[in-house]
Amino acid sequence: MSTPRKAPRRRWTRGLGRALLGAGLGLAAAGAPLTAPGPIPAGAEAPLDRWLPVALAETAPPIDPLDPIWDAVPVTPIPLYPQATAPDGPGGAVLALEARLRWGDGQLALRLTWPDPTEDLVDRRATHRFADAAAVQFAPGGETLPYVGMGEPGRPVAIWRWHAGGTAEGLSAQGFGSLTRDPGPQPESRALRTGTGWVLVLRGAVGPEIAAVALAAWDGVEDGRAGRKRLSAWQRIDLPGAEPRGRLAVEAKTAGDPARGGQLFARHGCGACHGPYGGPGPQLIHAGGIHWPGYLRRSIAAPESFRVPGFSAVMPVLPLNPGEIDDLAAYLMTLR
Amino acid sequence: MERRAFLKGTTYCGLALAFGGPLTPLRAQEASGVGNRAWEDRYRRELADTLGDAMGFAFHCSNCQGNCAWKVHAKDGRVTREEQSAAYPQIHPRIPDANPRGCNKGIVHSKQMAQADRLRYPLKRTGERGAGHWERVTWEAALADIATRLVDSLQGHGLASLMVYCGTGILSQGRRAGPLRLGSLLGAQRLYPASAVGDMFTGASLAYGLATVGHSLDAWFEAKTILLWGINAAVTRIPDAHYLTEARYNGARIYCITPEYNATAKLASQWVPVKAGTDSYLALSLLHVLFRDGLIDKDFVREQTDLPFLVRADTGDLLRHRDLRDKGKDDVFYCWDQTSGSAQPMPGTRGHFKKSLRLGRLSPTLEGTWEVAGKDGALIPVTTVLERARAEARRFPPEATQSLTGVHPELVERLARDLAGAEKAIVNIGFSLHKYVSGTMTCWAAALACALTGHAGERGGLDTENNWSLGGIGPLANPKPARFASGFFSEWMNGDMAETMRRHYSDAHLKATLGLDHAELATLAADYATTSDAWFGKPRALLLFADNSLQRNKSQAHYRQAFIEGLDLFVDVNHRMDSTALWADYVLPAKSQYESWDLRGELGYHRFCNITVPPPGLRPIGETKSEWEICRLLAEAMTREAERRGLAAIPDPDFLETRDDKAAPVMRDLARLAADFTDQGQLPDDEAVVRWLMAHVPAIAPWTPEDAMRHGFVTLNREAGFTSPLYANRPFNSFEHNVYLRQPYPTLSGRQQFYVDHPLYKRLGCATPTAMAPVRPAGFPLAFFTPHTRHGIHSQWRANAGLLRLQRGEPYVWLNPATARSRGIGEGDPVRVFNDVGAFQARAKLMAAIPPAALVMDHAWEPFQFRDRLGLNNAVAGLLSPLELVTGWGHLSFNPNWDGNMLAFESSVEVEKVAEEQT
Amino acid sequence: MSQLGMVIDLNKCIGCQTCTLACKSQWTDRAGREFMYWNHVETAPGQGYPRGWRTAGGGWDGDRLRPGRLPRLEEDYGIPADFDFAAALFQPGDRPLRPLEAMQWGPNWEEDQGAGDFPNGFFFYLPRLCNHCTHPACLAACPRQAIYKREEDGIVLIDQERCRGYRYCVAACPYKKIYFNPLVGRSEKCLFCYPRLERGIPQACAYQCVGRARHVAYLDDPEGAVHQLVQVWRVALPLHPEYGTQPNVYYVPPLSPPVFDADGRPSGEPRIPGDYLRQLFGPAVETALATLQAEIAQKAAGGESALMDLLIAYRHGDLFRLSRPRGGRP
Repeated sequence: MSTPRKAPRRRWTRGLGRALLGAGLGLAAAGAPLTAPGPIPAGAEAPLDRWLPVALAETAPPIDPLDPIWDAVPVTPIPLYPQATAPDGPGGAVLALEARLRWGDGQLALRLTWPDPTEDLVDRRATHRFADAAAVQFAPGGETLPYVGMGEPGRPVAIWRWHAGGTAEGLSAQGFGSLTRDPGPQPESRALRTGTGWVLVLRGAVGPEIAAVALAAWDGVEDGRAGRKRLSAWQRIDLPGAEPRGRLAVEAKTAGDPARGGQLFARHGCGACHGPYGGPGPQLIHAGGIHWPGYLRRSIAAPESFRVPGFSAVMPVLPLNPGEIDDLAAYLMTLR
Repeated sequence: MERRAFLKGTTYCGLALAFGGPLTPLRAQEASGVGNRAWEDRYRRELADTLGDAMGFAFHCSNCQGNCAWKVHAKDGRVTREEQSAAYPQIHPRIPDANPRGCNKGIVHSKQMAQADRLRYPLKRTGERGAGHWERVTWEAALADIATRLVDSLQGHGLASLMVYCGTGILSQGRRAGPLRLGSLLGAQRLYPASAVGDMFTGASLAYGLATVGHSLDAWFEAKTILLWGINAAVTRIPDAHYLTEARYNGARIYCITPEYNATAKLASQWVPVKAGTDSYLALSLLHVLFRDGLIDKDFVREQTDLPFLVRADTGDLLRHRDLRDKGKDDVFYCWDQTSGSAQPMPGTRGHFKKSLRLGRLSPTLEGTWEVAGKDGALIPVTTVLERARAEARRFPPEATQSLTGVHPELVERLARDLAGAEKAIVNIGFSLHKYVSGTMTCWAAALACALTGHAGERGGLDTENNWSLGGIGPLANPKPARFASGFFSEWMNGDMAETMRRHYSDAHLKATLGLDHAELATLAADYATTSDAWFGKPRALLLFADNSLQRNKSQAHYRQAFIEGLDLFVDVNHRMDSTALWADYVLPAKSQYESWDLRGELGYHRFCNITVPPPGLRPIGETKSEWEICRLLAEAMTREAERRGLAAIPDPDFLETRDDKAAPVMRDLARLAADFTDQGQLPDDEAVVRWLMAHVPAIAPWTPEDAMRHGFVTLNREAGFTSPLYANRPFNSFEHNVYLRQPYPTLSGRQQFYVDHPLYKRLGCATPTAMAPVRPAGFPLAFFTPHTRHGIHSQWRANAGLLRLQRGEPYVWLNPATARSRGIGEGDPVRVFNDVGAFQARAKLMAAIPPAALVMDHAWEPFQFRDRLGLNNAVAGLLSPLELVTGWGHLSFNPNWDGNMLAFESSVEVEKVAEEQT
Repeated sequence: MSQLGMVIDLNKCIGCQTCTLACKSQWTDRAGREFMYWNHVETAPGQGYPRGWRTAGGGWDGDRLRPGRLPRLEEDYGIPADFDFAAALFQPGDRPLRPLEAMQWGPNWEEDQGAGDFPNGFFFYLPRLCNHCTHPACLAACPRQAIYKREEDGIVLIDQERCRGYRYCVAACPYKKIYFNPLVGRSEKCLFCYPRLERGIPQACAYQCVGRARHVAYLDDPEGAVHQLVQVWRVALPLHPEYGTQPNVYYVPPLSPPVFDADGRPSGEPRIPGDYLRQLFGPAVETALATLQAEIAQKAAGGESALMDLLIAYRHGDLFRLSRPRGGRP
C-alpha cells in the first residue's frame, strides 16, 4: 500500500477529515465502503437519481489507470450529450462514458473511460488539428446548481481539464467564455490509450463542499474544443464531511405529466424557437439529459433568471400555473 | 456557529481553498474581455528586447551599389535587429528624399552573421582540396605557416607569384584597404574586380573614355523619359526604385527593355520585350528612326561629339594631321568647316594645343563628302562620322529588325520620339547587356542615341552607373605600385576557358557571328597578352578576400580544376564558408558587416558616405578578426619569418622609383613589412583606418567621424563629382564640365566618340555602332541567361535561411509554361539543364513572364546548393569578345575604364525532366 | 473610436519583401511564430498565402459569420525551411545544402508567376497584413471574447492571456491573417505594431518600406493621406470588400503596361484584366484607375496634381501621421 499522500493545507477540513477517516477506516476493513445517497426529504415526488458513488479510503486514490484498486470501485455509466446550446456544437451521437470515483486523504480521483476510435494528440506541428480532451466540472452545494455549461456569473464552477498529449489544468468559470486558469495547485492526470478509446485518471485535492460533478469529452477528429463537446448533467457526489444531504431535493424534484407537458410545448409553439435545428432559442433535443428539473422550471417561469449566452432575450414569460410548469419540465426531462 | 450557516457562508471560499484563487464576481467581470489590458505589455517587452541596450550603425558592404545606412541594435553584446537609419536629408523640396534606404538582404544580416555557415575559427585543410576535411587551428599556427609559405614563394618564384585579391564581397574603402595595402606593399598581383565579374561598360568606354557615367538616381525623378535597358531596377536598385515609381507619378514615360517581364516591366509605362541578345538590333533601329526623322540636336553633336570629324572614304580611317603633313600628329583630327569651305583641325582633341571644345569661328558640317589634299598632294576623299554612322543605321529599319528583336516598329518609333522629345531623358544600361558580345555595340549605340538627341548634363543622357571621386585614398590603399592584372583576361587564362569555348562554339559559328574563328581569336588573345599593359601570370600563392570565384566563373567544374591546379597555397579570408572557401588550404574567419569599423562613399547612386560603427560592447563571434587586423598579423608574421631568414629587401625591377635622383627599382622589404603596414603604428586597427579616411578624403570634408556617428553617414561635398560638380540641392548629372565648360572628354577625339578606326574594328564592321547577332550556338534550343537575383547580392545572402524561405528553399529555373509542357516538365519538377559544356540540376518554376525560347535563372546560387556541387555556371561556356581585346588605340588601353568582360549570356542549353531521387 | 488606417500603393510596391522581413525580425522570428508572416507580400494572381486563402471562407454573410477553414501548417503556410549547414559545409562529402524537409509552400511561393501568356503575362505584388477591421469577424467569432478593438486607435488585438487557441477567429478571418501558434496553443496576429506606435515609431512594415508605398494616418484625420486617398480622392480601396469586415488597410490599385496584339503592336489595354481587379477591389476600382491615369496625364502635360504629389510623398516622413486628430477619442 502506497504511503499516505498529504493533502494540500486546508484550514478546517483536516481535522474533520481525520475524524471521518477513522470511521472510513473501520468500514474499509469490510471492503471498499461507499457513501450512500440519503433519503430525499418528504414532500417531493419521484426523486431524480443522478448520483455518483465515491469509494472512500484513507490513502490517496491511485493515479495509474491500471492500478488494481480501481477494480474494486463501482462503475457508473454516464451519458454525455452533444452540447446543443453552444454555437458550433458537435451534434451526433450520445457518448457512453464510465466513471469510477475514489476519495482518500483529501484527494479525489476520477477514472473515466470513454470510446474514441481515433487518437488525436496535441500536434505541435499542426495549425488545424485538435486534441482529444476530457474535463470534470465541480459545483458547490446549495439549494440549486449553477448552470451546467460552465456556471453563471456569480456562480463559479471549478474545472479540471485534460487534453491528449498534454497535462491537466485546474480552471474555474462563471459562464461561457469565462474559463480562467487557477493559480493554485494543479490536478494530476494519467491517460491510457486503448484500442477503442481512452482511460483517464484525474486526481486532485477536493473539499467536502463539492456537491456535484459534471463530465465532458471533446473529440479531436471532429475539431472538438470549447463548446464543441459532449457533456453530462450534474451528478451529485457525497464526500466525507459534506453538509447534510437533500438540499438539492427541490432541484431534483420531478413532478407533472410529460404528456400534458408535450401538449403545452406544442400549444405554445415552443418548437418555433427551440426546434431541433436551433433558432432564437437553444435546441432542447438533449434538455432532459443535460439539465435538472429545477433549472428547467426556473427557465420556463423566469427566462431572464439565466439566459444561455449567445441567445437573445426574446423568450416570453408564458401564462402557466405551477402545475403546467411541472408538466412542461417533465416533458423536457424526457428529451435525451 | 451553527454548521449549516457556516458552510453556506464558506461555499465559494471553500472552492477557493480547494482550487486556489478567489472566485469572486470580479473574475466574471474580467471574463467579459474588456478592461484588463495589462497583458499588452508582453509585446511591449518584446519590442524593448529588439531595441536592446546598445546601438551602432552599419551599411552592408558587398557588391551592391545601394550603400544604405542602418541602425544596428544589440542586447547583452549580441545583435538583435537592424533597421534603416532613414535620416538622409532631403536635398530639395521637390525631389523625394532617399529614405528609408535598405532591402531584404541588409535586413537579414543580423541572422546571417550568426548562421551556422559563419566562419568562427581558423581552419586548415587536412584532406584533398574541396573534400571537406578541416582541422581547427590557432591564429598563431595558421599565420606562422602561411607566412613561411608566402616567403618561400616570394623567394622561390618571385614577387609576381603572389596574388592578393580582394573580391567584390568587400568594396568599401575601410575594410578593402587592408588587403589592398598588403598587396601593394608586397607588389602582388591584383585583378580589376569590375572586369573579373563582367561588369565593365565597354560601350560607354568607347564613347566617353569612361566606363561608369551617369546620375545620382534621384535624377530619375526629374526625367520625362526613362529607358531601363537590360536592367531590372526594381530588383537590383531596390533602395532607389521608388524614384522610378515616383517619376511615373510625376509624368515620366518609363520603358523597360528586357527579354522577360519582370518587376521593373511591371512598374513601367511600356515593356519592350526584346529577344535575348538582340538589343543591338533594337538600338540600331532606334538610331535609324532618329536619323530618318531628323530627330537630331545639331548644335550639340557639332560641339560635343566626333560626328563632324572627317573620315577617309578610301581607308575608312579618321583623317589625321599626319595624313596632311609630314611628321604630322597622330591625334589631331579635322572637320569640314562651312565658313572656310575647308578641312580644319578640331580643337580639344588629344593632340590639339587647344584643350577646349569651343568651336570659336569654326562651323563644322555634319553631312557631305569632300576631297582633301594629302601630304603627297594626292586628293583624299572624305566624309563625316555622322554620314558613316547614319549609313550604318540605315541598314536596320525597325520593320527589318522586328523579326529578330520581337519589337514592333511602332514601339521603336515611340521610343525615338519620347527620347528626342523629353527635356530630360535618362538611358540606363544594365549589367546584363555586356554579358553579350553585342553589349558593347548596344551601349555604344545607346550613347549615340543620347548624343543625337542632346541628352547630357541637365538633360540626362546615358547612365551606366555613377561613382564618386574619392581622392586621397592612395597613400592608404596603394603606398607602393602593385601588379594590376586584367580581370576578365586573367580569369580566362587561369581558368583555361578557351577549352570550353572550343567545345561550345564551332569555328564556322564563331566566324559567322564574331567574324573570327578560334585560331584568329586565339592569336588576338595572344597579342593582347603581350601588348596590353595588364599583368599576366598564374599565381603560385593566392590570398583571396571575399571573392567567390568558384561560384562566379563560367564553365564551373572546368574552371575550378584549372584554377586550383598549380596553386601552392590558397588562403581564403571570409566571414562565411562559401563555394570558394570550400576549396582553400586555409580558411581565416573575418568579421562581418556589423563587427568592424568601415566606411563607404564611392557609390554614386546617392551622395551619402556611410559609416559602420559596431554597437558598443558587441561580443565577437568565435575568433573572427577584421580584414585589417588579419593583414596586419600576416605582415607581422612575414616580417618575423624574413628576419629569421635574414632576408634582405627584394628589388622589384618591374617598377621604378626615384632614389637619390636616380631611377631605381622599387624595393620590397619584408623586414619592414609590419611597420610599413601600420605606417609605423599609426594604423593599428579598423577604427584607425576609418578615422584616417575621414581625415584624408577631400570629398568628405568637413565632416568628422563624430558627425558620421550621429546618423551613420555624412554628405559628400561638391568635389565628389567626376564630370560635373555635385551641387548640394540638385541631383547629379554627368558631363556638365564638358557640356557647359567645354572641357574635353577623356577620349582620343576629346569628344563623345562614335568612330573607332582601329584595324580590328574596321575589319569587324564596328568602326561605328552597329548590330551584332547573339553568339549562342543553335545546337541547343534555349537561350540561357541569368539576371541578378532579388534574394542575394550575387552569392552574398544567397544561402540565408530567412531569404530561402521567401523562395523555394533550393535552386529553380524559370521556364515558359509552353516550353516546359512540350518537354513534359511540370511546376516544381526536378530538371537537368545541360549542353556540351556541362550540366546542373534544379527544379522548374513555370512563369508566363519568360520567353518561350529561353531558360532563365536568377544568378549566383551557390554551387553547394546543387547536386554534386555543380552550379548554374557549369553550363556556361567561356568566350572572349574581340572588341574588348583591343589595346593601345587612343583611349582604348588597359586601365580601370578599359578592360573586358566575362560573357555570361552567350550559351545555349536544353532542359529535361529527371527523376525525383536524382535531385 | 479613432481608427488608424493604412494605404498601400500597389504601384509603388516592388515586391522586395523588406516589409516581410522587417515584420519578421520585429515580431515573428521566435517563440513558435517562426512559420508566421504577420505581414507578407504575395504575387497576384495566385493561390496566395496561406495557400488558397480566398477560398477558405470566413467573413460575414449579412449579419452571420460565414464558416471558414483552418489553414494547414505544412500544406498551406509551409514549414520554415531549416538547413544543416554543418553537414553541407564543414563535413566531408558533397551533400548539397537543401531544406531538411522540402518546402511545400511559403509566403512568396508564387513570386512573379502571375497569369496570362507570354508576352502578355501579368502579375503584381499584394502586401497583406491584418486589416484591423471595423467589423471584425474574428472578434465576433471568439467565444471567449479574447479579441478586442482598442478604443484609442481601432487596433484589433488577441488577448494572449484569455486566448485558449480555439481558432474560431482563424476560421472567421476571411483574409486568414490570424495564425495559431501550436507551440504555445494560442492564436497570434499583426499588432499594427502598437508598441512601436506608442513610442511614436510607425509600423515596421510601413516605416521600413523602401518603396515608400505605405501611408499611415487616422481615417478621421482630414490632413492625413489615408483620409485624402480613401475618402477624398477615392483611389484607395479595401481588399475584397464583399467579405463584409470593413478593412482599415486600403490599396491603391495597380496600373500595368499595355498588352500586345498578335503582331506585337502595343494596344491601349492594360495587361491586368479589369475583371480581375474588380474581383479584388470591387467595382470602385474602375474610377480609381481612371483618376490615377488622368492625374498622371496632367503631370505628364506639365501640370500640377495634388493627388500625384500625395502619392509621391516628397519626404519619407510625409507618409506617416500618427497623432490622433483633434476631437478624436480618447
